[in-house]
Amino acid sequence: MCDSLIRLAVVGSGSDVTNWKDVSARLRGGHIVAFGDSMEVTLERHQDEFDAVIIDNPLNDDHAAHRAAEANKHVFIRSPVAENLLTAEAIIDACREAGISFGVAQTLRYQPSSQTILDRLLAGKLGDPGLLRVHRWRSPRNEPLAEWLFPDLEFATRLFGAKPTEVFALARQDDDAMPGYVQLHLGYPAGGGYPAGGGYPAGGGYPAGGMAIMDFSASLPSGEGYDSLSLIGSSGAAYADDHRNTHLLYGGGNPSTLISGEGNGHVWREIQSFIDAVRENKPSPVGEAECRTTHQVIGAVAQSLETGRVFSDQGGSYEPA
Amino acid sequence: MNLPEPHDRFGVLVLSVVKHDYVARGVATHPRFKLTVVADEADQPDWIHQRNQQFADEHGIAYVRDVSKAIAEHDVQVAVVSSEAERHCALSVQAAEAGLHIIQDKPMSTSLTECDRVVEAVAQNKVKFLMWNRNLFPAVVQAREVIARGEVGDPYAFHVDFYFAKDAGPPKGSRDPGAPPMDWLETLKAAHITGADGGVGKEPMGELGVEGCYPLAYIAMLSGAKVCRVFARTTAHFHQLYVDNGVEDLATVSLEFENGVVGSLALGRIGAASHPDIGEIKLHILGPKGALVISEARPEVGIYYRDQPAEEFKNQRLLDSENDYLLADSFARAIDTNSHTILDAPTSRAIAATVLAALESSRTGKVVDVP
Repeated sequence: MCDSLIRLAVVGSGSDVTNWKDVSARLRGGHIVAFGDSMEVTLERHQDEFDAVIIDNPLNDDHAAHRAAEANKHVFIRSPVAENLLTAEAIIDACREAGISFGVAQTLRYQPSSQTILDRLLAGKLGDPGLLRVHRWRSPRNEPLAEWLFPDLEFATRLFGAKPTEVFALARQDDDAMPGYVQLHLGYPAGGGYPAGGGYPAGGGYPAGGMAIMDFSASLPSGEGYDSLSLIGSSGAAYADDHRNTHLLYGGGNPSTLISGEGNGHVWREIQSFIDAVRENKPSPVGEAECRTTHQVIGAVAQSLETGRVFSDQGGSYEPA
Repeated sequence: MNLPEPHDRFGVLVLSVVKHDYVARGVATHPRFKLTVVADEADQPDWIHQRNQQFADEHGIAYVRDVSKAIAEHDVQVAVVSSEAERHCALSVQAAEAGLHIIQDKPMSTSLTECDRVVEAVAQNKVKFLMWNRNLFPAVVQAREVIARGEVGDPYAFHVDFYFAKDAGPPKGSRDPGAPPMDWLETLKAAHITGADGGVGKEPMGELGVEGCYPLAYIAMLSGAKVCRVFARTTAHFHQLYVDNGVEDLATVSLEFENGVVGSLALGRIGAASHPDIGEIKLHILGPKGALVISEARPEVGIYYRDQPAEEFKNQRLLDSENDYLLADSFARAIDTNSHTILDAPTSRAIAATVLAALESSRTGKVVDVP
């Protein structure tokens, strides 16, 4: 256990630091001491003032994590970490070689709705997870596939206790660059279950296996997005759905709806989990293994989209079924 | 205003009523339809005759153990078929060949060949066919209207969650390991009192087979498109009955349509503890100009009171009978005007083909073309 405070720098968040100051005030065992638009500039100005870095926009600064590792700074990097497995593994290897901690800022895990569902699942209230249903709809944006998919794929692996055995994907291409819509259909294995100490089980999966259907759309008109996640277990179910959390606003004609958000507490909680991991010299809750696994699945999704085929896990890699 | 005259009424032959009597009751909510006689094949087992007789007695009409005789001796123009699924098509073909219009309970059949026989018989005899469905619940009608007005553009993706929060006997794994497998037919016969006997018959049927018709019928109506490829996963996750009989109580299906539209289903009999009412039944529809999220159950009213029975839904749907009336009304209009019914024989056959392809996909783990 490290007794000293962990000093954090935030890189790539832009100029709005107000939220980060609130987050810093809630942290235990650490605090935010510096901000920078790029890793280079942050190191140049604050090299000796921080121990760890939060890389908030990794896809905009390809070398930020490598530079942090070279400078011996612990790395807490926003999902998807990188656009593909190869690039993500290079970052993981760089951190490992430098002997520093590597963690992934995976906001979805720390949202109140996700935490409530995970808490009830791990307490055995919902039984074995059977079906996960996710909708994430947004207005048009130009994001790499990995950025769309990483949070829910990682969370699904956490919920089922194993990575998918089968991966099938469909897409609608709105322009040459990016699909405007992606649907994922995943199968999960039987056997295993969570070990008492937490983490993914070695054997993988629950007794009955399971399945997930997710869809990601970037075709909504500009404005609020739509989020829905439901988990059907063998003895119960959980529904986290914007449709259930709407209020009515009357201004003439049909009323419009207001959706209550889940606040910003998840940002504080995910950073706290990283600080705790660094101070206690233990793996971050979303660390190397979770990052590799999730990128493997994203790779299988890309292959399925390209070929129209189902890909199945063949002992570590995904191959056509 | 043209009010229906008595001679405009259709005499209804209830052609076996061993499971969902709500179809015949639903038809009877419309003044154009008059339940006239119940009939079935003479060689059916006693329990079937008992159910038919009970329904006939309740409605003060005759029960005839000879279908041809019932048709010959009664003034009937419409047959309502609600037998076990494996007899649906044979009875519908018999009715069509006698010149009767047909309202049939879902699923169309467990065999695509049988579905083809119905499509052919209906076409050759120039009668109307309606698969009973849920397409005219107010929320679904509202979705259709929103789409028709172009408010979301031409939809490119449809997703339906169709969960029944009902039990089906002991939970999976809860029985003595040495206990004999649960008998499908006997268990489903016993479930008649709760209405959870949609799969009753000699041949075990999973939830996708029994209920898949409903969500696929929503999509067929709202998209007007045919499914050409499916990928599916199924499992028996909740109930020992389904485990013992090798059928699914949970399923997911990815759908690819001929016109490039995509879709998915999530469907299951997920247990009574999993939802405060009949279950989450939702439509998610995406278009280039917007999107729709519709709860089929609404409008509903929440009812909570001391000593409330556990099996009573705490949210009660308000307009189930409206769907019944509107289905019957649309069927009468289709007969009057010689127009398509809201779920006709070719579309019902296409839905059955999609379900059977999905079941094959779940067995093989591969994407399957829909015939």
